Amino acid sequence: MSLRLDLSVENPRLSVYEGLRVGLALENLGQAAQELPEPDDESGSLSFLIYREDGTPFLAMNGLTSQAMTSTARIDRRVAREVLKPGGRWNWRADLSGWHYPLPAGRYLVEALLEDPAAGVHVRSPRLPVEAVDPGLTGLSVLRANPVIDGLSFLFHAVEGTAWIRQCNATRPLAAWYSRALPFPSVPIQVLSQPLFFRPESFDPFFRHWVVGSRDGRLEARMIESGEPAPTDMQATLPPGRALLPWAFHAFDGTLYVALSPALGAFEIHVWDADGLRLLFRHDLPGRPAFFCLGADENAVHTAYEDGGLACVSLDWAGRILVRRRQPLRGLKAQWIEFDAVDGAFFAFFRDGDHGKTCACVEADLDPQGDADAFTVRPLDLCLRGDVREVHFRRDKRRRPHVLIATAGGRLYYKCAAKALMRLADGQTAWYPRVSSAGRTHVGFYRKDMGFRFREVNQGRGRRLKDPG
Amino acid sequence: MRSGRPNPSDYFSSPLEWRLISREDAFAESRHRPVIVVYSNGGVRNASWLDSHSPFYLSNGPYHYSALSYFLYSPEVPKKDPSAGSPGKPKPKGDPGASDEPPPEPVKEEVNPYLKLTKVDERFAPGAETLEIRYEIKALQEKPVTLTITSAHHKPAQVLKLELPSGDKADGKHAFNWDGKANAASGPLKGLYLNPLHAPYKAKLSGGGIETEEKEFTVLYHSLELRQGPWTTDEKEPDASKTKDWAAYKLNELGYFGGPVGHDTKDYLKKAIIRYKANHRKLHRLKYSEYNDAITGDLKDALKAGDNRRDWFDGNAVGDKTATSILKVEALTYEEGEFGVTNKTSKEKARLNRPLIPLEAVLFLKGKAGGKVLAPDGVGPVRVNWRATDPGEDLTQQWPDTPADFGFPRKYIGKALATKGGDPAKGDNCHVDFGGIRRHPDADIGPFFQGKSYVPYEVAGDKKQKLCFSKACIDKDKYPLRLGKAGAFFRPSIIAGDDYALRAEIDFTGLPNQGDLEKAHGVTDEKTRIAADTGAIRIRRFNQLAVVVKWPARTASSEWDKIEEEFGKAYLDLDVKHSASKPVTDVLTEAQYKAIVKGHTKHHNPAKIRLDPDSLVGVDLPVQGNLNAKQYKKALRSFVNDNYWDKIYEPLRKRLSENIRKDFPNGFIVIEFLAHKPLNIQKDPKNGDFTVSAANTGFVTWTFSIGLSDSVVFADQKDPDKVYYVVSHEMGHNFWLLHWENTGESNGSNHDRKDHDCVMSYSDGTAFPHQTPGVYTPHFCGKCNLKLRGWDITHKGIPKDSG
Repeated sequence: MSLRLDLSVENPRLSVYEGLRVGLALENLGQAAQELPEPDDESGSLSFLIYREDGTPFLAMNGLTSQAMTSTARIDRRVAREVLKPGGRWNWRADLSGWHYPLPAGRYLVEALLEDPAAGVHVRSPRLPVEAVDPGLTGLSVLRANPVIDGLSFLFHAVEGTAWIRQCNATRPLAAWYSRALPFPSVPIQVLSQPLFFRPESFDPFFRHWVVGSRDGRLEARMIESGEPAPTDMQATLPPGRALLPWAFHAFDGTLYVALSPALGAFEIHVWDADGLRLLFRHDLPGRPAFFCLGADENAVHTAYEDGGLACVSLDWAGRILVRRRQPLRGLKAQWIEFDAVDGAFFAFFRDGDHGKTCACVEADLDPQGDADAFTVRPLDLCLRGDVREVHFRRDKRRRPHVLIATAGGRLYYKCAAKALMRLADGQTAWYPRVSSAGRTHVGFYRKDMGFRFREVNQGRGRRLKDPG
Repeated sequence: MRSGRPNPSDYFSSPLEWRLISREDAFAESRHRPVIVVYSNGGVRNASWLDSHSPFYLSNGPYHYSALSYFLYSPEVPKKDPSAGSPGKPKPKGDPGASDEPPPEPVKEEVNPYLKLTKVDERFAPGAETLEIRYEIKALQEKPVTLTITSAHHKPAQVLKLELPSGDKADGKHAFNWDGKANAASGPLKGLYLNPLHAPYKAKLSGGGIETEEKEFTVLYHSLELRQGPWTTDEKEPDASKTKDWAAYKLNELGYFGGPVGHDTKDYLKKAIIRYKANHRKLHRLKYSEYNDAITGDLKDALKAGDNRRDWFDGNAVGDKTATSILKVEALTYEEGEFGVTNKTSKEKARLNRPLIPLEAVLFLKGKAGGKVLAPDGVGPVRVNWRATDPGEDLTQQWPDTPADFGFPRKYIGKALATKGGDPAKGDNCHVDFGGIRRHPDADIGPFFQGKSYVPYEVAGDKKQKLCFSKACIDKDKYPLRLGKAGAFFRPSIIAGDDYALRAEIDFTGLPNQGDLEKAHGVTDEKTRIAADTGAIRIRRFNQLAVVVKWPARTASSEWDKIEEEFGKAYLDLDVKHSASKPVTDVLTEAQYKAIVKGHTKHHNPAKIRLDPDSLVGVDLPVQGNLNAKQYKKALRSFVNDNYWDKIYEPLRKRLSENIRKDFPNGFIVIEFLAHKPLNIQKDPKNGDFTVSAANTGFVTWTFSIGLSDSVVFADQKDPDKVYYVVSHEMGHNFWLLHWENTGESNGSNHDRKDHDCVMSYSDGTAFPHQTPGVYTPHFCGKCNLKLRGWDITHKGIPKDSG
């Protein structure tokens, strides 16, 4: 077999949040044309074999792991072949964050292997060294949006001032579309803008993000496409006495909307386009709560805050109140509120004090279906000794809540509906827990030296968390 | 000796005319002319020819009579003497038409009394035949002469004492014919006919101080025959005013195992009603929890109309031991919310009645000529055993093991059948631990319903003999149609493949004269008992393909014959030959489709949603834009599968169920779909490569196929695997089967761990080349096969693998 497979690595030193990016070249050195698995092939013909530094196998990834970790569709094992003429050469690139989890911290050797037993193909590339490092995690900004398909986008912030962006399918967030360093400097407040539309004419809006940040009294918005810089960016001066709130939105035409804080318990929505930053409206929340959350869709801006329970107010884009709802929760305080644009709901966690035992997961649906209540309150019997430091939850298709809870004792627990708490991990002060129940339920969290990864919750028998691939 | 029954028209030229006269007048008349006397004797009609010397029996005929009354034939001159010269035959008395002179007075002679019993029939069938008792008598006409019949096995011993009528005491030879009805003052035979249980009997005559010697005769069983018994004692439908009894009867008649009529037990009626409703287009409910056992007007109407009659049992084997009969039990599929979290066996037990077949043994007596005679009056309360044997399963009917592909269905099934004492020679039906009813041979008394549920029979167990038994009915007044028969409900398991051969046998066990009876009947051991056998009765499950929805029509074969064969190996008959085939637009409206898509995906604009008869996705697909072929296909997969198909399949299933079940309440609904219309995908348009490779020409995303509740299967036509395998796999899910290899699931306890050729695995040529997609040609592994039959294959005692 007269084939040569060359491998190059674009980022031989990478972080645990980043996918290995490689270049491949397959050359037919023989005299005869050969029908080979084509570069687009998604079967298991092309594998990347990761070895530990001592040469022991560590991980294998291929098109099958990619399919398994990005979609719930059946894995298609068929090989797509194409003829490579004598002397012909195929060159292509691959971001291996779409093939498997990013590499944990450590030194490795990577090798490409092209196999097609039916065609008698078995060719390996040279092994190349790579090193993955864990820069730590100081902040995580997550956006769930569905402009074309349901996606999760992450901004990982590290101590050293760098950030990484990763985009996954919310329905199967194990591997990513891409996972790479943000192509510009990180700033203390940096958020991903939430699209206000669903426009499935093409996939481009799905891969396009506005990253909005604030630094030194200025606002900056940079567009990226598939994690790579796009030509569009905007700068504006932050109005006096205002601070950037961690929510931004954008319309299909690219118009940005940013939320600024004029005072405690108030927010302003500004439109930001080529003509600059303009105030749309200001809203002062009753009681001036320090803790509130914003979300939006094409028709309204939504806010949720603690007000003797959970209060939700929907305003039109002129700031007029459309709907106001409130769910009393006597004696409970909000610890966490988050908006999910795809579910059209606020999710909140309430408890009766730092060391209290009474907890409740609260869901506030903005557009309750039929006779359903807008609010769903689910008391949680946690029986935890430690204080709850972090929490995140979502509901699945059957509306069962899946909750991740991190305690001050450094432990991370998972709880589903009435089932018993299950300890997932311990030994860290921060886990950045995240539940995704867009299709099957997945739980994600940061683990030192491993980075941030999701695992599927096994609803059947056997191990509770499943690793594919 | 006479041969045959005398016909009065042989003797008389004019039509018979009857008139009522007194007994005395009858005998007085007989001195002058021939007469026929019809009289009542113990409730049985007899007719005798009388003349001055030779009374003889004519027949048990359909003469009208009243007790203690005598009827006299109008005198006329006989036209001939067909039996001239034979003893006991009437002799012509001259020509009565020529003379009206009275006959001369007989001359009285002095004769010593004489009475001799010359012959008694060796045996007879009481109630159907008469016992002929011949004797000679002289000079006892004026004295009482008594016929006495005794039995050493009856208390009191005397079972008959009968004074001979005057006509039977005339001097000469007589043949007295007795119908066999005893007139014992007490004891088992009081008011009944003789039967074999008290045999042998002895007869003697006595009169005028003379006692004849005793002559022995007997009554013997000849044989018995098995048949399907009726559901009611009078073989009639119960009155509709007895609602439950009537419903049970009708459900039984229609094949739903409605249970013992009038003696409901074990929720038979409730389960039968629900199964009937579930299978009836008007009564079907989409949610199983909505069923109840109310006997509503609609249900009554349906039952009355005989809707949904099932061909549940051909019954051939009951009467023919060389035949095989199939007893059909419904093959259930899981209901909403039950898949993966419920045990198939326990759900089926809760929903299915064990079959119930009323069996009757009709007992025959040995007639005078040695042949079998139906004589229900003379059967007596004999014990009839109900015995079941379990023929060994013929494993050659299973797919052969294929070691090269690691397929071992035959080996595993053989191993499982042999578990818990299973033995092809002694019984290998599903053991009770695994959901069947077979128990340890020492504790198994057979698949018969004990108790009084099958009126008028009472079935009891005999642990010593390991069988059940009931006694023949003797209550003629209450159950005239059941007289002389014994019965029991045959109640086998619901496990497909289980088979039974039944035997009914006459058993004298426990009777004080057991030894004599057995000797008389040639019984030396259990095997030589008088018995009747059925052929093999085998349980098979059944289901059917109801509707195939074309979305669009599949261009390749649907391979229904292969699918039928796959399930047939598990004794599950999937009727694929009577299904309907419909385009999706026949079973789903545009508005319904739009509502589903709008309600469960992000596609909220109805104007952009359409029901496309050729593709499941009814919205425009995103264009390729800047994505290269690989990215676009990957994005399409997410768009089509994760964000569309995965969101709508369950509401779509519900809607299709609602629509289709109105006309097809049961059976599989298989929707053969393509995810979207074919696309040509360019290699890398962003970088100017607009070529379309062969693999990307006419590309259609493969999503997934799925078997859902209510027997609904969505089969993706782009699945590269063989059609029979894909559809059998999904139907397997409908039957509660769980995944095996290459599926990312851990269901090892549900499969033969050594079998790598199971339908419930995904194709994947990585570990085993024979599992390569498109090549893989699997069969259900042994455990799946047994689970389809109804076995609880997760029980700890079942073999883990075929090794």
